[in-house]
Amino acid sequence: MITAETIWVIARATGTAALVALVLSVLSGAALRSGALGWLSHNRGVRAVHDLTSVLWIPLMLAHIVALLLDPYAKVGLADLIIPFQVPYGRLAIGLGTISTQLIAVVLLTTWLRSRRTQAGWLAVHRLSYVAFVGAFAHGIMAGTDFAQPMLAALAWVTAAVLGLVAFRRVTAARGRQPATRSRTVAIP
Amino acid sequence: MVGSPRRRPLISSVTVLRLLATGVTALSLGGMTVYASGHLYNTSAPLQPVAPQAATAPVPATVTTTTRSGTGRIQLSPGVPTTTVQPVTKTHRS
Repeated sequence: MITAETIWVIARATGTAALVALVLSVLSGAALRSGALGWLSHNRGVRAVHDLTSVLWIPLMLAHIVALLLDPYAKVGLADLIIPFQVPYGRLAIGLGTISTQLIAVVLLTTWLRSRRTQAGWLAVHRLSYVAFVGAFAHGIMAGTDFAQPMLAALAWVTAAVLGLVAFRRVTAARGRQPATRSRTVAIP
Repeated sequence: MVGSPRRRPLISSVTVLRLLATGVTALSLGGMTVYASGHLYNTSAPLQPVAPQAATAPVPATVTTTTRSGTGRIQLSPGVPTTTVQPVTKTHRS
């Protein structure tokens, strides 16, 4: 029989591992165009990591949710999976986790149905994964029992900083590719 | 004019990259399982949900002592049993 302690351990371990999978997915996704991981592998390899880690996230997140539903201390109900900010404690922290999970689910669904959507429509939804990652990271920091440990918290913040840099590089790379649409006015003294 | 030669990436094999990504995720899962098993309760955790009823700390049980007086009447009075738990404070001896 699974004890409450075992469920608690599963909830914590799968939550952290799901965040790690999400970090790898967002990192490899952001690096696809910017070439930030060009030193590690070619674009096909980075794309393979992006696709794989997105799929790896699913069972980890499902296990995290099921464990929290079974945990008598967490007091998370089925309705909390749909309607965020309803839990009697830590509403913002847990609600952010709910919203980010829903956003990632939408991003994954639209990716699988990509052939039925326009490229612009798919991209608009896919960019929500950045918002979802910020929500998931905030959820981890604000609700994660293990992120209270300085070492793990430091590791999480360093990872988030690296991810932020790669995302920034992607944005600047995308801007660099856009053709100049406005002429420059130079003031002549 | 010859451009700078493109550097070869560290890992060319897609399979190796997939294994690496799976390994990192599996390592975090395994590592956190071991860590959480060894540190079940974290007093500095940001969320501290109220424990459910069954897991609340037991209220010290009172015992009822009965004393028989000389008049033949039984007098009942509540009392506290002696604990078997070791004291957590010490008395300084000089």
